[in-house]
Amino acid sequence: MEKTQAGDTQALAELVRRYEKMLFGYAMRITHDREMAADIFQETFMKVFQRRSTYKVGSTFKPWLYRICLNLCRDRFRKRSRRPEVELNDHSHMSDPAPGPDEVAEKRRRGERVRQAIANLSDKHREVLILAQYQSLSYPEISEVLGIPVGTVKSRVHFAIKKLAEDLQDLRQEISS
Amino acid sequence: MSEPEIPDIDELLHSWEAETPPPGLAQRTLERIENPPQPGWLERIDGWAERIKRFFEGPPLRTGVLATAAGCVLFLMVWSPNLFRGRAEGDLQACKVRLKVIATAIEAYHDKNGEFPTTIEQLIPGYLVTAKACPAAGKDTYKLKSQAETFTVFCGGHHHPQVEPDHPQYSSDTAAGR
Repeated sequence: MEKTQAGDTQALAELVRRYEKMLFGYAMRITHDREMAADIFQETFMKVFQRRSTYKVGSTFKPWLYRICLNLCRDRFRKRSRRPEVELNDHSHMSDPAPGPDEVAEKRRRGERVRQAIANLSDKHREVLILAQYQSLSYPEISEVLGIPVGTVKSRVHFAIKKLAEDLQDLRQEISS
Repeated sequence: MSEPEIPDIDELLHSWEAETPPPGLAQRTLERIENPPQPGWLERIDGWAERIKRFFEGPPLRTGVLATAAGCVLFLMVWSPNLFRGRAEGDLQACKVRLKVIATAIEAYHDKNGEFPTTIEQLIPGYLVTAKACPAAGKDTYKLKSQAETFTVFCGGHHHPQVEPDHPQYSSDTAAGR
């Protein structure tokens, strides 16, 4: 990031490629919309580039990057709530609905159940859970992304997992049997 | 506080797999950074509307301070000219009342002595307890001009913007304050 700050476009290209999969995956989990997630990914890096002078050298890049991305996701949701274009729970466009071999179809079914259970969490619990569980951010990093104390991060993760464990009780039993 | 001990939940949560990015996303992003799209007027309006909305959605303190400041400005805009005008009007009326008190003392002096005094100081202490001060000037500005049968007492100088200099006056001719 320090090199990008100095105007090194190669370093920026390196950053974009390094975080492509991770950040797109994150935007996708938040928005459930491929087109919007790709757009948010692009806008995130545009903002990173525009705001490179405000980045504090020595601080960790990942929380800063995720904070920008999350704010863009929230902006999109705000705009979407003003001008509804896509139904939030419409996922017909998401993944190939054609059933594959049994195991793949089964995994997809479970994945969809998990996605729905996470979508049913409140925003604050969902945001924390996705960062902790799927983006592998540490608690202090999540605390930095969301601007909340580490203790609050821990309690929200705890609550979210407990809630999911309850909601997905039937699936858990399936797996254990 | 640590994560609850539910051994199968981790595995279950990871059955929701991450979506792979569309091909060429990184390249398109870099191109967009190099040639950023210019926002249209609709996007600009949208951007400003969003900023304003976000400002008012901000901490209640910010909104409170802003509302209080707006209230103060509004109050001053509406009331300050009236307050100043009201005060000047009050000063003029009080000045006229004081002139009338002095005039009454002059007439009492005339009744007793058969002539008018030549200065206001002659009225103290028999007819006036103390010298009077004009409320607008904050000092004794009252002057007396007297002849054999007439007198005029007035506020010397220009301490009241609503009237001419050396006014208001109280004259034995008109027997009324002007």
